[in-house]
Amino acid sequence: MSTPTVPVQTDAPPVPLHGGLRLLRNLVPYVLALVLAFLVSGVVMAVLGYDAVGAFTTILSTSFKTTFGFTETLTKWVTVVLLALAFTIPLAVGRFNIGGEGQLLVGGTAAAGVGIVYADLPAALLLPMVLLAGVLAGLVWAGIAALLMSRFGVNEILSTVLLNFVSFQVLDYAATEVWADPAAGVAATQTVGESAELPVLGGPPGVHAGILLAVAVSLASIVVTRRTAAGFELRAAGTNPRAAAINGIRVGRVAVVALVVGGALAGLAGAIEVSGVHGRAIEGMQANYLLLGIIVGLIARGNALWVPVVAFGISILEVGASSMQRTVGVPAEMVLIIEALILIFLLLSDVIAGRIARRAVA
Amino acid sequence: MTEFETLAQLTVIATVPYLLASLGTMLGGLAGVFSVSQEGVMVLGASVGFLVSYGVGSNTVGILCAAGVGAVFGLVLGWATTSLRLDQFVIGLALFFAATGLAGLLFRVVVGQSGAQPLIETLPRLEIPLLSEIPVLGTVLFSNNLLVYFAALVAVGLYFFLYRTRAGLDLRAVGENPKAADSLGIPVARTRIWTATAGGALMAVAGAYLPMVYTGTFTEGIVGGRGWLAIALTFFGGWRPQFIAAGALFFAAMDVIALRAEVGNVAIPSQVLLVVPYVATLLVMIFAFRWARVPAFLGRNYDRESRTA
Amino acid sequence: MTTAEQPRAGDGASAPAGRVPLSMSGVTKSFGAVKALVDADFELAAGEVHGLVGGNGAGKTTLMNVLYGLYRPDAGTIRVDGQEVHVRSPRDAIGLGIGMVHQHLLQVPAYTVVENVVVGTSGGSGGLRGASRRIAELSDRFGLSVDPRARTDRLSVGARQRVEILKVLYRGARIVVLDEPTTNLTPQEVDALFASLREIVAEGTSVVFISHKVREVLAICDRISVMRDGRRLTTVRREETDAAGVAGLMVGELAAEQSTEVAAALGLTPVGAAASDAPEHPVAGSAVRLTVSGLEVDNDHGVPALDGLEIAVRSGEVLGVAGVAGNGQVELAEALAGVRPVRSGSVTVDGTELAGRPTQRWLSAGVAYVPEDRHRDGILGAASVTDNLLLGSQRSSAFRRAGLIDWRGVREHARRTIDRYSIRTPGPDAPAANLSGGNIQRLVLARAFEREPSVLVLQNPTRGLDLRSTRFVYDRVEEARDRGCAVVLISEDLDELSLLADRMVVLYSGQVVGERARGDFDAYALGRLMAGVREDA
Repeated sequence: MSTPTVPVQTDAPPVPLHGGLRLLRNLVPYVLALVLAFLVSGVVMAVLGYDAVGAFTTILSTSFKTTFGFTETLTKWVTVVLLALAFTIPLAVGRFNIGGEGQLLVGGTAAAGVGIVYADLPAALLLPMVLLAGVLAGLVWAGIAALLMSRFGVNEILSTVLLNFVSFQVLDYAATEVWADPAAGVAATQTVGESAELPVLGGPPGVHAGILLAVAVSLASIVVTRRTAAGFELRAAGTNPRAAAINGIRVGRVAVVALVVGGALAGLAGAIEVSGVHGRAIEGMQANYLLLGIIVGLIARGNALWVPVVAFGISILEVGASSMQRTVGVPAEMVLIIEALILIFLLLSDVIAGRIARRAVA
Repeated sequence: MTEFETLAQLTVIATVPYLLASLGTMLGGLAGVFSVSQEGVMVLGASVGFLVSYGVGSNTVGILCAAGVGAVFGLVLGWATTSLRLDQFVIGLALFFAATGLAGLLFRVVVGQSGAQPLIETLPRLEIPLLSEIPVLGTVLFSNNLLVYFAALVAVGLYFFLYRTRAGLDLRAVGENPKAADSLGIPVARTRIWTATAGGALMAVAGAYLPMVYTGTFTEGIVGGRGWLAIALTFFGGWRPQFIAAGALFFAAMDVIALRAEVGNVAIPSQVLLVVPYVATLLVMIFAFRWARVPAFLGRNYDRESRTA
Repeated sequence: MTTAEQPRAGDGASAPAGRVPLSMSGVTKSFGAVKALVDADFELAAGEVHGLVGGNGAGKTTLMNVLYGLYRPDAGTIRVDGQEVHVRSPRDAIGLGIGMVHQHLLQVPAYTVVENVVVGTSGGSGGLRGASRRIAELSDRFGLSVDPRARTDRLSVGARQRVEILKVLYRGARIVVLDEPTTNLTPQEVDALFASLREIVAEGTSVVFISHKVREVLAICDRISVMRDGRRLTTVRREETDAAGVAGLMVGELAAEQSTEVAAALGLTPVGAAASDAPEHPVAGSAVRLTVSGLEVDNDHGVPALDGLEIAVRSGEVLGVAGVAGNGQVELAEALAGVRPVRSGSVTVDGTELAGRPTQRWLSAGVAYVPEDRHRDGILGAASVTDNLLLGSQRSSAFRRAGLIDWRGVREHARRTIDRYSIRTPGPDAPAANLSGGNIQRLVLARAFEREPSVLVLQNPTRGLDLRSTRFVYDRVEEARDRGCAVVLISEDLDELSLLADRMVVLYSGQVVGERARGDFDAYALGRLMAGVREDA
């Protein structure tokens, strides 16, 4: 029996790239989507009476003009890439983890808790504990959703979203009842002990050492998805669950593990935010990282190799956004529209490619 | 007004955005289109509703324009998932981003980057003659703003349409078994597109409600996750208008009580109260899954000539 | 009955003179590279039950889906009452008085019977009470006995089947197509259904009865059309044929005669003649590798599909499992592959009990499976040929270096395998879905054989393949057998079974109803078994 090819394969990560031709073919839709997105948003800006060229120049150059801009971009990249992986890894088996911000917040809360309670321990002991606390908390948080999914069939989009809202209250409770710091001016916990803070590399201003962790995690996820049996099973289960199951892969278990690993990475991001950026858990520290993680994951189409690259691109846009607003006067929200347009054009290019492929077959 | 009346009325007021956004989610979902762009469409509805009211000086026109913009986003979702067969969640998330960005952009473009926040008139209270004079109930239910009545009407209307008419029967069949519906001559794609469109309009009105009732102005965090909660509430209500309405009241009541707990001295921490609706929803999904059954083809695209069921 | 007509030549039975409610001609339909219908034609007389038979993939359902507007044909004309019509959607078909009961129940389980029947009949808001009365009436008139107010998911499968017929009758259909309507029915329910069908045609309505089940076709149909390879081969009258005749037309005899030149081209000996005299493969003394006893397995609807099945296969033996489709073949194949849960009974491979164990355990015990639907179950369509060849062996030490997958080794292995199995692909990195059916099958076989299996399960392994690929599959199966593998070949193609099997069992209604040793493969006797006529009866 023939199964007409489905035009869109968003949940199916492309196979390892071998050969320049294949790379080139995969790049074409990206380039097209980028060009079209910038073109359309440029026209929009021009129509609104803004200096589109100036806006783009500012967006793209801010990260590279000053050390401050560059370190800000790198700092942003750390969290974006971790949240993107938290979304992408479950996506590889067709599961949507919309709970990245909840996992980040409980991870951050747990990290702050450990950092406050054991503030007197030496860094060599405390820092790993703080990071581990974040990882474990994120893991448990996603684990709840994974359990509900595998045991009770509860839709993981629903459960992860709900757990986000629960996590707001968890942090709120910690920040107002347990380790409240009334002097902070915002709802936040006390600061963690100095030995719980990530060392700063280079600078000033410098980048916190969390970037090493993020790089390591990015590399590890590339190696795992492309070079290990577990990663292969992840991709296989996402591409065709039936064929994967027939060939001995436990598809349900793979999905649970993917969701839990995703949660652990988001939890790590939370711990890094606490020990590398804020020095405490602050309400609202999740910012728009969930959204950026999803955008990066979708634009990278779940491909572990692309995630760090796309995450860097998105970080550049995000850092450039505020300076564009300052210097050219274009509202920072324009950047979100550009990102959405890139994604939409990428999706459309899939549809078109699918139609062309089908015509070629028929 | 007594303390109870005040709380009850606040609850009714807080119910509306939950209710409208969930009904919009439900309407598309019953035909099989699972929107995940509520949060974005609501923010956009709030922005457009506010800006048009501000510019034209009429809340009604503002609401209508918000509905129109929301409908466009629903239409795109419906079209992209039927004609183009794009993954519902992926395109839904893309539309969420686009709507969120557009909302902020429009506000900044119209209002400017700085300066004083412009304000609009909030919706006035309309006392329904006679009914509003009933003790307690009159104050709580029959002296509210226009959109409270509108939301109630939509809930009742959708209930009758979906569960008491042939057209409603046809519509639900599309979400339960599109192949069966198609084989009986029901236009699957058309049904999905119009329900997604109407659903988008309802979500945007839910968003427009916020500046028009609560704040009188637009801020970026104005929706505050109500869009995502609308998804939860729709599941909680088992995709049926009457239970969604009950659930919306419950969600709203918890909001109001928790707010009281924060200011007043209630024994339970406000955080625990605020978590109740979410945990309750999860419990419903776990233990009452039969009751809270979702449309069988929710989130799944339909291709007539696909040979794999 | 031995007249092997050329396709669409004379009809053994032309329609009775008078009104021709339906005629289809020149209907062609492709799905991608697969030709599902090739210039197919069909004619239906007033007031008859017309059987449409043929193996899986013969095009029966596709032809009727074209009639019902579900598939848009690439070419062809449809005439209703002599008028040429264009059926673009089911809505058009319903308007023309055509109704179809699909193979799978197309119902909303949560709806009541009335709701399921009236859904789609009008946009109006009328109450359901009138409809309920009308349904009760129809139900009485045609002996369908269904309570209109019952919730559909609380009904038995038989009653749900009758709801489907009510749906069609309620819409006033004059042409009723039933696609495999008896699949999940008990014998009593089948009898009741047939009585109702008689009532229905007595009122002038015509019925098309699509089925695999020879005995049922003979019991109910006035005329029988046989399809194969996307075209109608011939049409016969009920009184001119018998069970063996129809079974022969479907799977054996006619095909055998037609395929004489095929066999010659392949260098095979035609069935029945030399094949039976072929030197017997010495298997009697070898060890039993696969033992199945008391195997009970459910189908997707939770209805028992295998009922206490017993088989044993020796090393170096090919066991053929014959039977018309829908008698438990899919369930048997999946159960033997460790994919479908075993409700009770035991399956052992080389003495190891595997029932209830995870699929991975079956694989490591040496079970290899070549599924029937190779696109759906066989490959990762979007993944590369290399990935597909690795699938299932990703944890094997052969492809591991320092705990990681040794892609260099895997690619090397893939290149060699592509070579050895002559898989025609643009390259090892091309997506598997882009390959042709024959090459996908080579890929699936390559993966199965590279594991050096001790038990090999194949279902319809040559369906839709060209001669060269068919030959290739046969060679590989023989190779596996010679290596000492126990082979279970489940097929609807008697030619194929006769050629390869050392022993044949016939599956009917989830049970083995007969067994034949090589040299005793008589198409007529097998046909009787396949039609459900028991040996001892």
